[in-house]
Amino acid sequence: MKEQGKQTQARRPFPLWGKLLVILAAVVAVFFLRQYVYALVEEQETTIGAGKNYARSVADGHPALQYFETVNPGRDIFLACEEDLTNDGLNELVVIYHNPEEGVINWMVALINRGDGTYDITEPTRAPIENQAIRFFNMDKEGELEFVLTGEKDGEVGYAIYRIIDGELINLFGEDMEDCC
Amino acid sequence: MDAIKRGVIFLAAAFVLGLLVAFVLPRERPREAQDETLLIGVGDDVTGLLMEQILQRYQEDGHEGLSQAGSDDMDSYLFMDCCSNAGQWSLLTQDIDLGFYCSHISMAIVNQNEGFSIYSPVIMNGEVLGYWTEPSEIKTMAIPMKREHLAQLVREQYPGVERLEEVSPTSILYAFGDRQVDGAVMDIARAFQMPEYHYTRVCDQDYVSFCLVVRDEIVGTPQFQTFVQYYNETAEALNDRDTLQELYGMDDAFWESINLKFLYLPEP
Repeated sequence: MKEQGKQTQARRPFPLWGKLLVILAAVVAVFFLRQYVYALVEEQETTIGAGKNYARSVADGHPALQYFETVNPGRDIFLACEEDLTNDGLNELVVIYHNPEEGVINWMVALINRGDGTYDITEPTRAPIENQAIRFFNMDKEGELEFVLTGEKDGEVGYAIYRIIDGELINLFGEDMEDCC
Repeated sequence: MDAIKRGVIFLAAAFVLGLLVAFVLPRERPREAQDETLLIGVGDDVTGLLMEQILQRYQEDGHEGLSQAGSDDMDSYLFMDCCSNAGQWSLLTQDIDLGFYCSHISMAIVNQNEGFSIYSPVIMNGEVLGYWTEPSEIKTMAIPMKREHLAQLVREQYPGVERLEEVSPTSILYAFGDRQVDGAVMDIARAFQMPEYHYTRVCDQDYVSFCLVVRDEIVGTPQFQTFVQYYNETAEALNDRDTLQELYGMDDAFWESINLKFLYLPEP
């Protein structure tokens, strides 16, 4: 009798609501997969579209960076990019750094190349807290290059355009970066 | 029980059908790269004049450039003032793909909305100072509404100014013409309407007046590349003082005293 009972149990068809649940689970899984794939594609398209030529940071042993570290020991360097900003054939170095003694404040200076292995360091100006990026360009095709500094703080975007004028970093954009610094 | 089963089956079938239909029905997509016109928002100011020249150059440039890029790659969309709600909403609602905005609003747009970037600054020193006696004697100064970057600039450059009056950009020339203020910072395009007054540059130091704000996804499109190409060619032409004078008049003294610069866009 027990054997017969087991055989009867084994042959019992899968209930209809169970089948429906399986189908539902499969469809829901496909739906979320579709959303995920579309999101990935859109993200990729957005990334491609927003591509900009940001400058790369120089290597640790760069002479100008070593000069900066000698004059300002103990600073955390986030970004150090070089370009001829004064149109004299010598590269300047723009450094974004943090002084661990000051809390959550970042600074930016430019090291203006004197051509003899030494540099004039501009007055520090506030720099973004996160995702700092620098893009050099000559927006008016005249003399000195300018550079764009962007970054964020808690999702607030900062944007400024600097040019070295009379040995100082001057923000040409007019909007300060207080929201992201 | 049967009724419950039938109800469950019906609901499940409807749900499954709905999900399947979701795959078939067209979904909202970003603007396609092909066969779409790039709509560019400009204000009733120097950016409008710039866009007018870009479109003119675009239309006059023969068939080669047009056939390469498509027959209808770009068009303009005029908003009275970039700082107006309409100016900002037109970009956010995708009525336009990119637009020229003053630096203050450019920052506001990219900060408050995802998917937009400042592509590059486009016009430098785009405002002039209208004055009656001498700039140093100005006590009440009118500036266009919501141009906080200009207010900051004026406070630094003219410490003698006792009162700053924010006036709508369209009526600032009338406020100045009626001598309700001693001086007015206004878009250079306003000055072209009243060449008889005295004008000079707002300050000696360069500053950015307008930026190009774009929806990120249009940057890689061929239409945008075409726009950048025509923009840069037009900027090159307009940076020639004689060309500007021929187009917009004004005397030599005016062009010597101002410092308008059309900036160049980087290739996408």
